[in-house]
Formats: sequence, structure tokens, C-alpha cells
Amino acid sequence: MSASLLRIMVVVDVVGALATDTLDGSVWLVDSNKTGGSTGEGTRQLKTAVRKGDQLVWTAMSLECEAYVAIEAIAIDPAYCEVTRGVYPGTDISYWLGRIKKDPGKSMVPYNILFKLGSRAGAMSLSVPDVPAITGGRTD
Amino acid sequence: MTKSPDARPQSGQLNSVQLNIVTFVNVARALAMKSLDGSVFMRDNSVASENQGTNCLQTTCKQGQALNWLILALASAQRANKTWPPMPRISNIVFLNRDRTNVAELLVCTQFGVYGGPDKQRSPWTPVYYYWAGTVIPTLPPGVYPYRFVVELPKESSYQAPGEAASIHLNLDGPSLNVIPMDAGERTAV
Amino acid sequence: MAQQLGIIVIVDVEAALRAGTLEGCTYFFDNAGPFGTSGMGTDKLVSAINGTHWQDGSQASEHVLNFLATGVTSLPITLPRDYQLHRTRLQEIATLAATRAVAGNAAKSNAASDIRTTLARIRLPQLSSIKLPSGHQVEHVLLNHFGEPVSEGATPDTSHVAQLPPVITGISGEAVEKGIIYPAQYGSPDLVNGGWYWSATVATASPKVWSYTLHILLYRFVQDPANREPRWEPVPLTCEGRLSISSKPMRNGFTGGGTGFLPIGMPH
Repeated sequence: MSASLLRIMVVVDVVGALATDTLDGSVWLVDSNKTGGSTGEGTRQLKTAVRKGDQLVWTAMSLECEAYVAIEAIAIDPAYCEVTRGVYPGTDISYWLGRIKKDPGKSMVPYNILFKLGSRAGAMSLSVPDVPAITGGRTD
Repeated sequence: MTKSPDARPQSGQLNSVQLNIVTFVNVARALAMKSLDGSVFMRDNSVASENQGTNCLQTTCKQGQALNWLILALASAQRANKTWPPMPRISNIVFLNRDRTNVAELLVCTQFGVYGGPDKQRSPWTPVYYYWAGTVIPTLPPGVYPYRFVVELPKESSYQAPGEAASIHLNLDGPSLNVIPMDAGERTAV
Repeated sequence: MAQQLGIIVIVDVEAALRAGTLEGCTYFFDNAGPFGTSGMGTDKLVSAINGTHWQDGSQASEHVLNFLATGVTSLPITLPRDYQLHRTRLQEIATLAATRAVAGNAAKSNAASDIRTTLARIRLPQLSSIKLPSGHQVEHVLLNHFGEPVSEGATPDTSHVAQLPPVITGISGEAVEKGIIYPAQYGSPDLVNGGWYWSATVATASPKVWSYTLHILLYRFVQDPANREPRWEPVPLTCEGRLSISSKPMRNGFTGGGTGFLPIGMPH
């Protein structure tokens, strides 16, 4: 049972979020683990199936190439997943790397994401309880 | 004279997003005056640019960033008689040396030129666009790079005397790019 | 001014290659969510196109669709063009600097073994070859998900290699045949695949739901233990999208009113 690297793409309608002053209706998540047991692909309540030792890499993507979005922070229970921020070398584009320390088994471990959008001074996060999560039971 | 990137708020939010530099021209006035003075307004979608809305816009952009130059007439709606008012066109964008006395010695943008042509006319209605775009060279030394527009303005047929050219070309000196390092945002990030 | 609609297609390449179809492995998005698009995040997107026409029925305005495809396991599309070449150059500079530093220690007594150890640690990037549909081969440096070149000779787990992004190779179907959309490829100075992207104008005078077919090329990563260089093999697939053209007038998203120029402040 080997550890894998799973990608999670967070798609954001930046213009929609800035116009309505909320991320409701403007965020969708997709991961690379559909065949390994993840559910909720393409929705805000993505449940990524993981195993101890797995690495998760989160990146943010704006619907428009002229709009800026970046993940400022990921709030997840550090007992299950430890997160750090990284930058693609020689660029100013960041990603977040999570290391799964403990298998969530049958439980859901929800997490939240803080975003920087456009030139808005304050960051925005998702409104609970409509948030993504990690769960155990990843299959090969 | 430009402030250092660290002094500008949120300069880090320029990363890798495509920049649009839009120029509006009061075509009728420019044709009448035979000059672009007082008839040009430029804007871009870069947070830290200076002189927005004027004819000497300084666009703050990063090494490696893609830039699109669009030009529009202030009066561009289709008329009730189904004809279109004259549309300006960018004939050339020329990067100049620091004191604008001659062309630049350094290459500022790569993949630089006219875009908008389709790969194939699959139908008589396949759209054909015309705009300028380029990518700031990733290793370009940071600094201010002035440039000049050569703008083509078509005349209304009623303004043309026999033997006259159907359009005039005018210069617009004044705009510039302020190129900052690709990782500028990282250094100024909170 | 034409309304621009961006349609983004995110492909789970691994799942699609396993299933042999894009169905269920593709996630579509567009930026008309607030204007009536349905199916965001699914492979059943119906894009809302608010059509306009004059009272005599003639075309008043057109809509422009810009398509962008990427893979869930590809590097972000916001990375600079030719990032793999840029990254390789940075690594080469570091390698030369490390070699040079070693030469500086040549006078020491343990120099020979020191030099051998240091040189053995120098890594070259692993190249792969992309087999294009035309039959040509192009070289590509393998990068991992952190933008680091994969070391030569390493046989990485496929999940650790950044996926080549899928490429849209054509648009066909009902909407094209019936003259509702007019697609073509247009150049861009900044893009993932050789600087071209697909765009189509929409003749918005015919309210109805129209379907179109996207032709998408996926690249399968193949590591051949016999062959030293891994390769990417092209796998062409198709999927469907829909446009819902309505005769509702276009709204300016900022003011809620009709379309037209935004009021622009005059310079002070």
C-alpha cells in the first residue's frame, strides 16, 4: 500500500465572488482521485479519499485569465494533515502541500480555504458547513 | 520617476494574470485636430499602474507577463442606419530608449505583434480580430520601458477629398511599461 | 462590443484514459454562472448565452466563446509559458555552479574522492518524448507537481509526474453545422500549447439549446523499462457541451442595466 500524490484544483469565479462579496456559488473543487474513492467532484463539498503518507497539492484557478486568485491559507486539523505553502521555483505562483499523518478512516475531516481575490484587501473563506473534507478509504 | 515596488500596496497581485491595456480614442476629434492630443484615454487592469485614464499610462507588469493592447473608439456602437463609425487600429507599437530619443536597444517583449487572425476561414463569418499582444521577456532587467503607438484612423468617406488617403497615421508618445521582478509579490507578501 | 464567455474544461486524464471516455471524467465551467448557466462542475454544462437581435430579427450582437482545457494533474495554467525550459535552465546554472565549487577544492588532499562524490550527486533532468498526432516527436522535460525537474534515471510513480495538459483539437457538432457558432484557433503570446487556443463567435439570433462536440487530445504517460526515455502517446477523445441561447437581453453584470460602455472617469 504505497503513498500517492493527489492533486486538488480549486476553481473560483473571482468576478462573481467580488461582485456578491461571498464565495457562495463561486467555488468548485476537483481532485485527481475519482478512481480512488473521492466523491463530490466538481462541487464545493469534495471529499478526497486519502491514506496515511499521501501528499495533497492544492492549487487555485480563476475562471478568467485576467483575474487573480491565490490560496492564502488552508485550515485543517493538523492531527490528520499538516499543510505548508510552496512556490513554483522562479515564479510567484503558489501551491499548498499537505501531508496525511493519520488515516481518517470512516470519518470526514472538513477543512476551509482562505483566498486572496483580485485586489480586494481582505481575504475570503468558504461559509461553513458547505466545505470540502478529507476521508479515509482510498483505493488503488 | 517610479516608486519602488515595495512602496505600492498589493503589487504582488500582478502575477501571471494577463494584462489588458485598453486605449480609447475620440476618433472624430483626433481626425479634426490631426493629432491624438486630448483625444486618448488609456486604462489597464493592473493594480499598481500609474496615470490611469490619461495618454501616458505607466503599466506595472511583471517579467514574463502576457500583455494585450486593445484600442477602441469612444463612439463605437452600430448606427441606426446599420453602418459602423470609424474604428482606430494600432499600426505599430515601438519600444523606445529611456529618454525617448530613439528606438530601444533591448528587446522588451517576445511573441510580439498582431494577434486575432484565425488559423483558417472555415466560413465567411469566421471572426477575424486585430489587436497587439506580447510577453514581457522573463529575464528583462526591471525598470521603466517607454513605448510609442502608431495609430491608424480611417476617415469617414465624407471627409476625404479626391486623391487623399483613406486613413491617417498618428503617433502617441507617452505610455510606458514599469517592469518589476517576477517574484516581487513574494518579497512584499505579508 | 462582443460578450466574452470563457469555457473551461478540466479533465481527469488518468480516469479518462482508464475508462476510454471523457464522460464522467470531465468538469466544465464557464463564467456565466450568475447569468443562468447550469451544470457547472459536471460534464453536462449548458452555457447561458443571452442573445440579442433587432426588432426585424436581424443579429444585434454576437457572443464570443473562448475555450481552455487543462488536466487535474497538470501544472497550473498560470505558470509562465515554456516553464519546463525555464526550470531546466535554472537547474543547469545550479549544476555548473556546483561543478565549479568542486574544482575550487582540487588542491586539498582528499580532493579526488570529494570530487567524485560531489559529481555523482549532480542530477540531470529526465527527458521524455511527446508523440504528436502528426507523427513528429518533441522533447519535453519531465516535471513533478512542485515544478522540479524529475531526475534522469529515476522511475517515478506516475502520480508524481505533472501531466501534459490535454489539447482541444477541434469543435464540431450541431451548433457548427447549423451556423450557430463559428470556431477557429487563435494565437496567444501566453499559453500552454504552442500559443493557440480555440474560440468561436455565436450568432445569437436563434434561441434554442444547441449542442457542440469538443475534440480533446489526451497524452498517456508510458514508462517502458526497456527503453530509457519515457514517452507521451496521444489519445484522441470527444465530449459534448451545450449552449442555451435565449432571447433575454444581455445585462451589464455591474450595473444590472443594458450593455454598453461603462462610464469612464475623465482624467483630472
